[in-house]
Amino acid sequence: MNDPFEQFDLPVAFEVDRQQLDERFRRLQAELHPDRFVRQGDQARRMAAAVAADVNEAYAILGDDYRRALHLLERTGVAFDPERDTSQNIEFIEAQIEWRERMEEAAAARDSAALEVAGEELEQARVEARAKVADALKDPLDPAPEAKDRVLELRFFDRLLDELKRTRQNLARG
Amino acid sequence: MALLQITEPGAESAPHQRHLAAGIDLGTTHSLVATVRSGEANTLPDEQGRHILPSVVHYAADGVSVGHAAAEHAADDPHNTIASVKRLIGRGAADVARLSGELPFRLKTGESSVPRIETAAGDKTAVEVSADILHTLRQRAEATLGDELEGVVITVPAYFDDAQRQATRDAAQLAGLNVFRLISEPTAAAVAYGLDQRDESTIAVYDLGGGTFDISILQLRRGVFEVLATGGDSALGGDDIDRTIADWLLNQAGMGGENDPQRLRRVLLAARQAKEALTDAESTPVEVVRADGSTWSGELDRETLVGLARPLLDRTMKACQQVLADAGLETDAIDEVVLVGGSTRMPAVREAVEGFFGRVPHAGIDPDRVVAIGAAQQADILAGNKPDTELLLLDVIPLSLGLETMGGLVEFIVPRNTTIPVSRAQEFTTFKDGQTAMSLHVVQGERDVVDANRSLAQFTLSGIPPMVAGAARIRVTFQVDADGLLNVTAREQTQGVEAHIEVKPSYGLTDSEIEQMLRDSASSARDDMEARRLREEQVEADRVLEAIDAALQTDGDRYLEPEERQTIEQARDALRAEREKGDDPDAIEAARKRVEQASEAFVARRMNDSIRRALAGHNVSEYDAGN
Repeated sequence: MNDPFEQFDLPVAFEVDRQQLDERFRRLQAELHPDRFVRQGDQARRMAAAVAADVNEAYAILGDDYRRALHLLERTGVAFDPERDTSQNIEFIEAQIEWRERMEEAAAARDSAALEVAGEELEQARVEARAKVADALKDPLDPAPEAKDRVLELRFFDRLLDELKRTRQNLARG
Repeated sequence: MALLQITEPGAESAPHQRHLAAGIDLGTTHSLVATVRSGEANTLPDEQGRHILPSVVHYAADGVSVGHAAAEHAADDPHNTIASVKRLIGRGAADVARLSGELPFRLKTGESSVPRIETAAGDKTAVEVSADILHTLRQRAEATLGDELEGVVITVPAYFDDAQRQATRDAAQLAGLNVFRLISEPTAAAVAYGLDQRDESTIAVYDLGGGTFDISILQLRRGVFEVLATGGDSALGGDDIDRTIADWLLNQAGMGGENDPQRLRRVLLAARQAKEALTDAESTPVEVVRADGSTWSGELDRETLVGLARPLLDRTMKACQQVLADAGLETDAIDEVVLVGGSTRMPAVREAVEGFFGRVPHAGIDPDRVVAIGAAQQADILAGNKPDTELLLLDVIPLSLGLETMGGLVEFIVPRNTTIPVSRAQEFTTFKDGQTAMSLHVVQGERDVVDANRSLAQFTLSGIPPMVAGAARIRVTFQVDADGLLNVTAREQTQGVEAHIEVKPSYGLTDSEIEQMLRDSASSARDDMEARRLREEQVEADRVLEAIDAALQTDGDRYLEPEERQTIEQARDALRAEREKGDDPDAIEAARKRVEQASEAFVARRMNDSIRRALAGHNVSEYDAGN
């Protein structure tokens, strides 16, 4: 697969212009979606499907803070195993445990008010984590040494927010 | 068929140049076919002027009937009259066993993984029954339009998984239809109302049919329709309202213990007519004939009807509440509400929906036909009849796809709501020293535990070189095409051993089974296998010829060295000659493959250039117009 930044002709940077990204995605799909090739025979359709899948994947990477940051690190050769690596920052590991306990307690008590408050604080903490990632990746060609930990921390917040959303939906469902 | 078809951008194509395409709503209780003519999408009636085709097939020893004729046998020959087959399509033996209590026909689950229905005309799979319905619609469309259809868009419920979509595609293939695309029913309804032209909105589609209720929440964002949540009740519909009214009539007439089936059917009919009359009238006279021949006559007014329907409507509202909770939304987040299904004609239903969502629902298009109409509009675009449109429906995968890992857990590879087509890969490793094979179990669903999800396929990658546990690197790639159909490939990275599977064996039919059916089916007996294969090859050859001529004309000089161009033109001329001769499908296929091979680099260059142009801010029509 080509580099997503190249594919979308966007500057290599952690911050992307969302509007520009969306606009280019729409234009690319309008040209390349296999629907455009339904009358041109199987070969063209298959090739279009492969290219469109690539474009979709690049869009997903560029559109997601964590995946984009991960890609920037990988592209400078930072070794990364997203399944096994965790942040080495002791303070963060402690904070992580606290967050988890807090969620689990509120969920067990079916306390939706507590979950809502935790959710708001979590969102705020994510904003801070994201700012730290942006800072560590200020020079995307030469990331700061702590960039990997920061990216893993951002992922923690994304995942916990996802879980929280599911928990709240389950509660609402009764 | 014309070989050169380069329309001026924005120009209306002349009627004779139109590519024939149709939209098909393949429903549980009834089906419809629609097409765009003179710029307007409409459903097509049969010779008696009926638009709706009951999704019923009657298999007698001496012949097959479909639709109204078949439905007439429901009472006298229930075992051979197959209705509601959509509930079975793409389902495995276990699901079907669960459903079989509700269905009147005899099921054989035996040795094959695909359940079959016993009929007087032999054992039938749900795919074959659906194919018979599709074949009838195809004939209707082709008779109306006067020529063969180039392709169709078929709608499926938003919650249909890979196996159910694949089975629907198989049925279309069996009916001799070229499927441009499968789209979801709520998406088609939204398209019919032009909601896809907005930039961003959240849409609720309330679909109350004869026997099923579906509620879907769609989110449209930047041209992509995401299904946020779907819900409903597969055993709730307008038929239940009819039964409630019939019970009321029986009570009023003092016929509480009535059990003569013929009289009960008449009462049910009277109930339905009264319900329909109350769509416009405030009150309607009703009449019931008792066992002794005497007649009870009275009045049914709208208020009484609303009272009778209330418990059922409340159930649909509960489902709406549920689906909003699933989507994590409040009612005020819904921007548009669309009504689908004949039962939404009842004013009481409209009022209830309006009351619940707090906004007036879209109801200007006949709710029985709206899904087929949206599908027809999409088919018209895909057929190339609107060359100036940039409109594109981007779909997402409705349910997550993953693999079973240690301990019966699921590793998700493609999460739900990922825009398709998509290709995702993940690496796995061996668990034991010296392990030479790996079994891959593909599942679809949202639960972490394998058993709670739908099992799609199982296959084995063998020939892995023996290594210590954890040393092998097995890359598993999931490819999902624009219809949401899955292909899985597993490859051992160090030695390059590969195994792959098109996902259908556990619930769908294998290619050879489909081929067998094609041979067996009544439709192909009529138009002979060989002739059909020849016709298919001719159509594909025409498509390739047309595409290559157009490409050479617009871009040939730009991308091709003279000798490259010559090679392509020679292959093309050979294909055209073979096509004109037109008697040998194998020769046509071989010639077509040679054209495709010769032009591969050319196609790739054009595609790359499309990307460049798209990014440079020119669209194709501007670019072409300037040349």
